[in-house]
Amino acid sequence: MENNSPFPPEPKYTMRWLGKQTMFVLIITFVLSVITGFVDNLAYSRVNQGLMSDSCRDLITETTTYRFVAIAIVMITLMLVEIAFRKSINYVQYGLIACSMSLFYLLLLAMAEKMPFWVAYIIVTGMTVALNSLFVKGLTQSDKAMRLITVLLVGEYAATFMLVYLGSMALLIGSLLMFGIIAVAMYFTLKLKVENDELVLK
Amino acid sequence: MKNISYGKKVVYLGLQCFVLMFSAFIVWGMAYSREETNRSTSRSITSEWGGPVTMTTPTLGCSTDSVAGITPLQYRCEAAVEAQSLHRGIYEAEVYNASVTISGTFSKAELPVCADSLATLKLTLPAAQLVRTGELRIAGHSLKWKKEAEGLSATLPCDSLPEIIDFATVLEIRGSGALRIGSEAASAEITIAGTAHAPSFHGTTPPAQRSVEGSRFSATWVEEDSTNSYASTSFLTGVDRYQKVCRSIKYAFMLILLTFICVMFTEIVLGQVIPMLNYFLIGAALVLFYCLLLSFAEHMTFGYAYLAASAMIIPLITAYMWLMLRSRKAALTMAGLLTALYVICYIMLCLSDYALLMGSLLLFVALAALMYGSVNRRI
Repeated sequence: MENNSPFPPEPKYTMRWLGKQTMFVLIITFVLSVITGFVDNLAYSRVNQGLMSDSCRDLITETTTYRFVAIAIVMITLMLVEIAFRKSINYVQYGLIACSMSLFYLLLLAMAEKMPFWVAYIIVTGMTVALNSLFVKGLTQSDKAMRLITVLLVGEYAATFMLVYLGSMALLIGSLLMFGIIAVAMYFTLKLKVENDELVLK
Repeated sequence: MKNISYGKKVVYLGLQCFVLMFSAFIVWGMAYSREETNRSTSRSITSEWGGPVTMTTPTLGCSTDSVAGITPLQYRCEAAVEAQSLHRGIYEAEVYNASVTISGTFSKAELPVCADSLATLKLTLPAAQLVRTGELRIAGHSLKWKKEAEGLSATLPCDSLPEIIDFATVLEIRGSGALRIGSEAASAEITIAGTAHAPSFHGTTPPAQRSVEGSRFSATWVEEDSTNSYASTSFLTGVDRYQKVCRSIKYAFMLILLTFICVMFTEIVLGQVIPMLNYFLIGAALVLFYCLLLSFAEHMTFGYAYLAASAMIIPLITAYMWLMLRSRKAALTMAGLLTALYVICYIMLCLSDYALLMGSLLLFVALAALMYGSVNRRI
């Protein structure tokens, strides 16, 4: 119907949109990782109350170290999904996905009190990945977008799990991994082109 | 499209800087916690081996008297140190074995008259860290050292002592961190020599002679008529690298800010819009530099780690600018700027006394460049 109107529809995915969206994504990532920082404090107080072991708390502290990176990668991918699949995702929906990723750490803390850390980790990863995949599927009606997010989330949580168990070598491998991730992200933004004032992912 | 408001963009970039500094702060936290882990690991390695050793000057006194005995007239002490590194994972600690040769003389005239005519030679040092004690030769006698809680002692009869009592012995000790030898005598000469990774020399006076060649070192202290004096050599472990990483993160804000300003000027000069997302990725690469620096510094010396990390980040950002703007000039300018900034930051790290001066001069130059760039342009 809109195509019949005398004026072409106002382009949505402009450079200005990208700028605004980047700032929004960064701020929500920042706010949620600050809030998730309290999971650490909570873990300390649970240890003091004798509900949790010291080694388990160390594992949770290690896991929360990677929260900023994990949330930022998913948020930026959602932005690229929006441009590539031309399905708009609004701020609240971004916020909900970011919240579910923060909730991951709280759930992990709660579950790790009752069962071994790795069992808790697998269960919570399954819960978070299933929830977000279904949500993205519902938002975009696209199997491809859903698969992309599922693979990304599983990859992220698997990498975090590996880094947590690697111990002292984790930092070296983690920072080399980050270097690769930034290079890949740069590659994708280079494919972002402006056509008729509108961004397209080529 | 063409009339982008740069005022708004500057505000957004400022916000981005703030968020990026938050992630730099996370890297700082990681450096801090790893320093703690390194300290506690090396503490647990060295606690099995033994901590710093403090050995006092031997004193001669009455066995029944609790008053401190007399100090030697002449005192020579030569410590031959063999240091070795113990590893646990990536953490290391330096420990040493030392063979200490002591010789000197006491004057009998200074010695008080003892009730049971028995004199005792006492030497205070951590007895648990003694590997072997050689026999003590004193005034023609050959005695065995007796181990006590706070050191060694040997008892000998007073009557047969000559006017000048000479003594000599060899002790083998082990320890870590530092070796400290007392030099309270009318005339003392202390030599600490051997092999160690990074020795540093302290003492109540600086050493009269010192030399460090490769891993071999030697230092000699000469003291006259001194009380409470000592000569000491300490052996560092690799904790200072974490402090260097933490200090380098202090310059992160300046680095990000100057890079952003340069990218924005490139954008204005070329008239090509660079999205905020690309700015963020450049900033993230700059923060990642510190992460790489921290992880490399644990496996090599700090200088090489700095070189390796900057050799990864500078080409990444340069290639990105090149492919994004299709301008060789812009890419080379960026490469030049980043290289200069990293070199200046490294110099500031090494010359910490001049860091403030260099930092403020750098900001002045940046401001001047900014004014020069914007004087003929309407932004």
